[in-house]
Amino acid sequence: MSVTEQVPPEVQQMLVRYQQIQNQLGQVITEKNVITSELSEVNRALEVLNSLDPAGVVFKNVGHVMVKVQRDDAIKELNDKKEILELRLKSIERQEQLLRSQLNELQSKINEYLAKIYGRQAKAG
Amino acid sequence: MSDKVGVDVNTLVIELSEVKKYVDRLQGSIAQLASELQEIRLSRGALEELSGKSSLETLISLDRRGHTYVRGVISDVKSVIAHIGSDYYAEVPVELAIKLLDKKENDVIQALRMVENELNKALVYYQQLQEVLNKVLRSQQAKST
Repeated sequence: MSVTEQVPPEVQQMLVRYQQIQNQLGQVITEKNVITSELSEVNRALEVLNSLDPAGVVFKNVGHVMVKVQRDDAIKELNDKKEILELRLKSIERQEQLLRSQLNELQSKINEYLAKIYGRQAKAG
Repeated sequence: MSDKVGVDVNTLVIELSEVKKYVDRLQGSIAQLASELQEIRLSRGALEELSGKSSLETLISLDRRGHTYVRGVISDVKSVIAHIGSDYYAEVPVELAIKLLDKKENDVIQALRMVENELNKALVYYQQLQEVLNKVLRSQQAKST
């Protein structure tokens, strides 16, 4: 196939689908990174709060205001947040796995298809 | 890439512009992370300078550029209010605040390295695409003459 010839429509379709899945996978990975980084921040905050005296001075940032809160309330809120983040992480990891397997499947189909076409052309040539 | 691959100029140009946008985004992230790193180091430097001192006469800036100041006195620099993660701040000893800043610095450095690696990869891909595009354009030009 020369540079000016077109890729067969069947392969083109598969390539478009491949690109779509790749984009989806990119978005999922970005989201996973955001969740992982939030989770590690929550864990870090919990680690510090747990090391503080129960009467320790803790503030929560609310908009442009810093509100004084009880250490235990902060720990409870962060534990709830952690639980939600862990659930979201599990779900996003499942999505990532699914997309990766779809991508691999498509990749081998494309390779198989191209090998067939080029094989036929080589025999004809 | 061999000549056996079908290449469409429009697709190449679109892909090239997408990669360019991605490169711009990565460069923006690097600038942001570098500025964050500078702020962390500034904060740690200030803490180390003030640590252990009491009743310090200071000037407190009313704006970020230092146009006007008011006089102030710092009574105790044994503890500070530090960002501990998420939306929370806690009063912690200066030593712990410095440790927290060190952790943040490490995280930012790691993120910076990751984005720099990604940028290098994107730039190599951009260059390869440009080469393919030039090759295709040259071949089309040769055919038309």
